[in-house]
Amino acid sequence: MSGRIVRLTHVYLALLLLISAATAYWQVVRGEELRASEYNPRRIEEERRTLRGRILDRRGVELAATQDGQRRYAIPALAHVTGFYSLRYGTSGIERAYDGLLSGRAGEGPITRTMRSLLHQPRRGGHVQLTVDAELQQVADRAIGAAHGAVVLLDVQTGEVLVLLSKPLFDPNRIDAEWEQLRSAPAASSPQCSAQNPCAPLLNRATQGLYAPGSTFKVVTAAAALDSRLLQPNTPLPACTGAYVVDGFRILCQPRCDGVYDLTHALVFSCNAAFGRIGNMLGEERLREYARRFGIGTAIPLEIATTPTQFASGTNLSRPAVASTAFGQGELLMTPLQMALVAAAVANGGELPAPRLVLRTLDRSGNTLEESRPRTLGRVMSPQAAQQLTQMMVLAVEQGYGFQARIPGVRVAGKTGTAQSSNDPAVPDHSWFIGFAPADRPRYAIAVMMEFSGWGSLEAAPVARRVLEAALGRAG
Amino acid sequence: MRLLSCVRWRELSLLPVPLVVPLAGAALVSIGRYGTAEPAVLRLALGFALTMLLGHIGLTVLCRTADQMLYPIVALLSGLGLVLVYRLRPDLAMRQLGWIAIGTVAMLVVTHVLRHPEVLRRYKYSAAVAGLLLVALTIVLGVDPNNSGARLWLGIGPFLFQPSEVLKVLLVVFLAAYLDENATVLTAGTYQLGRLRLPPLPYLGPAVVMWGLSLALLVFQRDLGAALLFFGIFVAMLYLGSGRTLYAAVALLAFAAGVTLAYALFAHVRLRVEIWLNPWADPRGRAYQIVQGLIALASGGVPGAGLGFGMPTVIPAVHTDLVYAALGEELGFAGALALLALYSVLVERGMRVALSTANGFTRLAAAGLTSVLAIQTAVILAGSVRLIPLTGITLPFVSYGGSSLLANYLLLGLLLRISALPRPIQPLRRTRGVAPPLQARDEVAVGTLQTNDREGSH
Repeated sequence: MSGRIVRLTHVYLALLLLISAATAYWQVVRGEELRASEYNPRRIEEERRTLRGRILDRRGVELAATQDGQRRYAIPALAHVTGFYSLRYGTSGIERAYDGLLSGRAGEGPITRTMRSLLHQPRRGGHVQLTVDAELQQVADRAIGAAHGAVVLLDVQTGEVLVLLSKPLFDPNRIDAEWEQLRSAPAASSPQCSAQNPCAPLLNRATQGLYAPGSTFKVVTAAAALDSRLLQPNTPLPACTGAYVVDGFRILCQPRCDGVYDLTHALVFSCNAAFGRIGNMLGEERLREYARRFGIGTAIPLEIATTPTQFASGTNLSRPAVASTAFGQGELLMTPLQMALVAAAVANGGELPAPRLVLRTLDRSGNTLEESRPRTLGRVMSPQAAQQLTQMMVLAVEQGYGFQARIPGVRVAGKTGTAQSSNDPAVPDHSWFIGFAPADRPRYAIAVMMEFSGWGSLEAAPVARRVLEAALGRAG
Repeated sequence: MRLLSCVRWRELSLLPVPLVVPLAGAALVSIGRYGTAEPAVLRLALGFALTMLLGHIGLTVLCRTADQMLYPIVALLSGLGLVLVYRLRPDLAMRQLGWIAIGTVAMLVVTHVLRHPEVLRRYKYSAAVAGLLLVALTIVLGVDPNNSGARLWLGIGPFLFQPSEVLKVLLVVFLAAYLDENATVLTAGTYQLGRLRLPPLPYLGPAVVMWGLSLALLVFQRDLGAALLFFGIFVAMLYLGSGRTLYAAVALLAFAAGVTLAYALFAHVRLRVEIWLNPWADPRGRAYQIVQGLIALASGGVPGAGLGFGMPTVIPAVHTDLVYAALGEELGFAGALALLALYSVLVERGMRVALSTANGFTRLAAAGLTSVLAIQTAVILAGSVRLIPLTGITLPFVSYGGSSLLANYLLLGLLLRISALPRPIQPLRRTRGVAPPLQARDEVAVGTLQTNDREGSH
């Protein structure tokens, strides 16, 4: 019997060996994967213990910090930029884009992690310093008031984003408490939206809101005409008599076409008929090519999520469709960030700056890890064309519809837009303004968009003036 | 000098380890969880040390020649279990210590009372009847105090006890006696069926009864763990007693057939199997326990989170069913390996006791009792790592549970007593039933093991 006992003992020992192999499988082979499982409550516990890093504005103002396990946001107007951080609902904005750094997960090697877990130390995250200016952001917030919409202010040379405002705001401090309410808000904007009845509050309209650009797009069409040498600023254009008719489609001589005899005046008075005609003179291909150079049709690369803009939903457009596109309607869909970049490209001598939201990243002790550098997204037009376009946009502010954007002592270049928001004429239009200042030595480009607010010249232009004025005043 | 020669030196030299483990472990738990060493730590460590001293002195006085490694291993396992219970359910730690003490006393009583373990042979049918009665009683009167879905407990006054724990010892006693008496018939086989030689049919009776009993446990009590344990004991002892792998294979096939039938007929069996095969289908619902167990193991990694620093308490019934996952999380793969090594040594040592006895009955009993520990450990651990469906049986000496501790200490007492029986001067040749080639191999195996043993016992 003793041989059997020995054999049976071997069977038992083999079983225990098999169990140790299976244990190794779960603890080592599948360990990483299971630890990261959404069903692992330790993940949340570790997150709770983590000393999450801070988010700072360009001047070092603390925008987000963790105190007593609570994430605190100091500037409500920056809600969409910092985003929120919630154990239950995840992250958004910079909190999402830099989660690895802020939580300390990124850059933590296996040795550091093992040491930390052996010593039972909480994880400590690094910090992010943004390009935004909390003060200017609040000026923009006050200027736009109760309207739904967005304001984007860029440094034209460096691409630094100084203001990135989306209205309505939400309170990232109360994200857990107000989540249901925020999610149950109407997902799409309508004229019924108001401060009391906010629509899509979590949407960052500046980078993800898509709108018809209206007449602000005429800057793109004009850039195409100038840079391709189709027209000079003073090339005579046929007089507008009632409407420009293309294949039976009538584009009225609106809003003002009398006295328009060249490209400059077509832009200053924003004559739709003239731009419809120029569009067809350029042709779809050329107009599309210049739109592409401005970044239209793709998502603008930025640290936080951006939505691709649209030139047209298809190709081989009809002549009336090209005409409509050229004066800013058609199937164009733009983000405020994209339109701010259009202004910035003109201001920057025809070179499209890459926008950036992060100035530098810092390790947990505050030493700089990485400093972001100005980059270009390519040349859109020649410096000469940019110079000509700047002159035309200065006239649009000084003599045309952009008069509300005038700043005493500073030359402002700009273009208003009043974009049809619906086929129903009773629905108010979207109000736009894009521009930059000072026109002779451009520093800041701006885009203001206000949903269902009416005339760009009356609503968006004054907001742009207040923000530009504050920016120039702050810069000294 | 005579006094010195009475000391169980080897046991004494091994005891410092189980002495330190509960003290250091409980202190670490307390510091990890509360930032300071609670007074309970000292009470537990002191109580455990006294219990161990009692066990050691008791064995020296009552059963001096018993094996000297079994008790230190069991003490270490109990100490580790005490630490884990203190970690997982601090409110139950004192009770666990109480049960360890009661178990130790029971162990000593058994070693004293059963000085001639062969007498148990006479009570084999009493044991069988008692066992069957216990099962019947549990089926009829069983209670389910934890709402686990299985009525595995019997209430006696204020106490609850789990009959399956006693049953396993009774089963070994019965089978050892039965198989030893009928070894000739079972080994030789009398019926010829084609090329198969079968034993006479009446001798298959107990086999069929045991097979039915295991399945009854599975079906009526939803206790897959006990069913696996009993059936494992049965197959192992049938193999030991008859030497015929064929019987074991047939029995395994019959069990597999029974399980398949149960799977087809009973929804709760199907559910268990489905949870086992695909726990990720319902990780927040019915598979919550095993999924959290696996995640706990994964969270431990190799070094472990450290005692008191993990989150094993999110696992339901962790202190009874999934104590291995808790250990794996806080002591890591390193700790899990150490535990497995301890059980390996325990099993090997128990089997050595079997090999060192001459008598057929005591040899079968010792091997059977060791098999109980080995199979029970394998069933719950294999369930914890998803090699088989997770069951609710305890990890011997480590899990929380009075019946389990008491029964396992009784089992240990029996094993110790058998180890103290006078040894054969040289390996005895069994003339009954062993085919010549096997016998030759037997000698070699016995010789090797016994040589090692002699070296160590001086």
